[in-house]
Amino acid sequence: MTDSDERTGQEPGSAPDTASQIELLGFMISNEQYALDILEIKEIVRLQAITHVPRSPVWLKGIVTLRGVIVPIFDLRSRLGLAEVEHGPDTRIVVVYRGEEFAGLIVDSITQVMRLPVDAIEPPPQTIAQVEAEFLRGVVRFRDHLVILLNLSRVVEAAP
Amino acid sequence: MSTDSHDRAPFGEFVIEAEELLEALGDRLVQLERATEEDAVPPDTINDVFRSMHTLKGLSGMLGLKGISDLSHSLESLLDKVRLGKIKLHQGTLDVLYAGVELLTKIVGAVGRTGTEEGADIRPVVRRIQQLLEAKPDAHQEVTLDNVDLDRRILGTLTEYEEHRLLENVRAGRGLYRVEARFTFETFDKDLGAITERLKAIGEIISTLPSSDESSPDSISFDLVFGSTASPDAVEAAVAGYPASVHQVGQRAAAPPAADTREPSATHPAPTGEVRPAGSPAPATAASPVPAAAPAAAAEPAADVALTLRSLSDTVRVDIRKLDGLMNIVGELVINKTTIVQISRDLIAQTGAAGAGGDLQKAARNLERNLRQLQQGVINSRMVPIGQVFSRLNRVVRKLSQEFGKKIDLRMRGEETELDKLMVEDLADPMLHLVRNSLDHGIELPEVRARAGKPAQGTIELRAEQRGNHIVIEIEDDGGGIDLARVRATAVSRGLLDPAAAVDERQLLDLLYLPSFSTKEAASQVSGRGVGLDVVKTNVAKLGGMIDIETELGVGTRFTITLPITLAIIQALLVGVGNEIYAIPLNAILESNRLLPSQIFTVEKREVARLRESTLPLLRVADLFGIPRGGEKQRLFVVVVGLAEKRLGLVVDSLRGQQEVVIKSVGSVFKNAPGIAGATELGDKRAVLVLDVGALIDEATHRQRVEA
Repeated sequence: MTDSDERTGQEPGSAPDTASQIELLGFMISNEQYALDILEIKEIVRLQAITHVPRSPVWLKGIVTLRGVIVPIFDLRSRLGLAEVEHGPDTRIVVVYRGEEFAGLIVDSITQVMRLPVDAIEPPPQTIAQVEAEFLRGVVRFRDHLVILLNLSRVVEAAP
Repeated sequence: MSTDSHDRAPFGEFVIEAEELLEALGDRLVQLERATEEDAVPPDTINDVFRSMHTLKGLSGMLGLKGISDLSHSLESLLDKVRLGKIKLHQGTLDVLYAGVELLTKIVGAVGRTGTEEGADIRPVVRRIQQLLEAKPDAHQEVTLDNVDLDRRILGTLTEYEEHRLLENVRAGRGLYRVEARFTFETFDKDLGAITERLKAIGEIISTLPSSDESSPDSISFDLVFGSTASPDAVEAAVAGYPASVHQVGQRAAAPPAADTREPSATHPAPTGEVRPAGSPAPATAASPVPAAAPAAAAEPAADVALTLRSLSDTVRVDIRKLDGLMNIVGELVINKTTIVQISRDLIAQTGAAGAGGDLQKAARNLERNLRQLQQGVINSRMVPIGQVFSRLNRVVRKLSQEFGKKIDLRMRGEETELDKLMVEDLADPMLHLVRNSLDHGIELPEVRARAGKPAQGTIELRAEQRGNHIVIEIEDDGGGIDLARVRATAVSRGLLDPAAAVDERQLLDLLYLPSFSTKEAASQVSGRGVGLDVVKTNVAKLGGMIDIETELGVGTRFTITLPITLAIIQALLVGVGNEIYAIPLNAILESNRLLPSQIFTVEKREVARLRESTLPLLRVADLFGIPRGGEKQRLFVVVVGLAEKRLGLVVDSLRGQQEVVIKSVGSVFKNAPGIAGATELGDKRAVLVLDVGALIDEATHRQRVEA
């Protein structure tokens, strides 16, 4: 595939050192804390100029190139059905694996990496923060905050 | 071919190799069939077929694939008899060989998919082979080795096959020669190869024997037994410059009846199956048709085996994914080069051409030249002749024409035309579809043709040709043509067309590309029900190409596919629309021009431009892509694009120059982004979309139809 895989040296889904532990990357969207399994993430980059692809869904912002590789960019806010905001200095693109390809998710800001036991993940309630249940994988409590774990494969699914 | 199936499949390597062998075998059979029609079967071709079959037997046997190895063993035995002249190569033999190769291909396919030879029943074919093998041999070995004035030592070392070829040459009235050549040990393989090539050009090398001459320790001599219609002088000339001497081999008229047969032979070049005059003596021992006791492959020391092996080792089989990887790197180099050129321009702007900027620009130019060579080299290594697809179609046509009871002469031209390997693979299905269409719907039954005053045998011609940056492939038949009145009636009955609509021939033909459109009431199992041209069109469009139909009722139909040579790296024109930049493949552009508002007219609610006496439909890229126009601009440009016969003017705000771009997929998530062929990265790391000209032309013509 591409040379950028080798740099991260980690394949999605490869077992962590301690099987019962999970590492999550936390980020903010619309004042709520969300997270993805760190193994699903390739890298985090600053926002760059996005080329719009005409006649595509509103939550698909377009494409960027990362060292020659074309990456489609999802606006997480509009993907999750939340109001869009102007991008600020903290806005980041979280680049994730999407099968053999990649996808970039626009988030408001990155918070921290969390290390938790796997069984700390609870099933998601029907709706939280007005987000459809299909996008949710579960919730965890971390330092007295509720963190919403996203179901990545649903989030980066192509338009029907 | 999926990416990982080869890695996982236990027989992956075998399947690749077997498919290659079988494909080559199929080609050779077609050549042989043609040659038998002209009654001049080249022994080399039969040998090739025999050896390929032998290799396949060996490979499959090693892997314990019993069906393949048994069947190829059977076929090998048949081929052995054919090459020894014991079974004549006629249509019946060829039919069995075709059936065998087809069944083998099927089993190999099953092995590739499932890892087993599931459902393979080789018995019917093996039985047919057995019948041929048991049939009475052709009794025509009337000329014997006694007629040939060759040294006993040489005659004694000839294999059964070589004897057969020797006698065939005598029977054909060719001159026989013994070429004695002496080479030094260091270079003998090369020299022998060279001399063999030169002799083969004017005749047939029957045997290459190392000579027993031991007078010189650091050299080696060979006796080449050679048959040719060329004069002794011509043979001398062929080996001139090599340390070789030519000796004519006398042909004795040993028995009077043998002389009888040689007489007519001199006037008819290759009378292989001639009938013996009554009362001739029985064939002598050496060449008598003894059933082949030893499986022949063991006795095959001929020099041309060695030559074949050597030429094989000149070729390297490379996984296409490795070439893709190289192509990606070349692509990134192109981007880097563009960046360097940009920096050199900036430097020159700042400090003038005399300083480092000028030097950098020169260096960048050199880099550009080398890069272009590298690119061309990588592209060339991906190129394969389109004949690979044609020959697969050949077998399909053979099979289907029998099923349909139609007689087809499949002709091919331009098989050597080269195309990107991946494109060739993706072309196979659409072409198969078109050829099936011609066979099923196009070519009429023999009796219908006879009534129309046409030859009973229909013709389908496949042509490929390179025109500039494009490959044009045509599939033409001399069948009944497409009945436009029926197309119209069907379209109306299916609600696809208003009964009152005034449509021209082109618009009617375009209807054929609509999903589930079929004019043949009894859809046959081959062409399926209607699913056809729409799929063909989509597949061709995926390759950045266009398809066009021309037809004349009663005379025939021609499909024309126009494709870019490669998809990977192209020259593109960058255009500005609003704040966006798009790239348009240069090979689709006919011209680009200023467009004055006064040149734009509206005809039937559609914008057109008058351009040098002709009317050009316009498509405003800004409107199509929903980009704000920002007021009526006085300065516009039109990029005239065309593929096949269709033309369209794309209206843009600015022209931004040409650039080489590497097209990459925008990714599967954008599957619903019509009009976009891919994306590319410019020197400033910005992603730019590449327009899909074929799709845009389609969209424009479709809009026109809907609005009309």
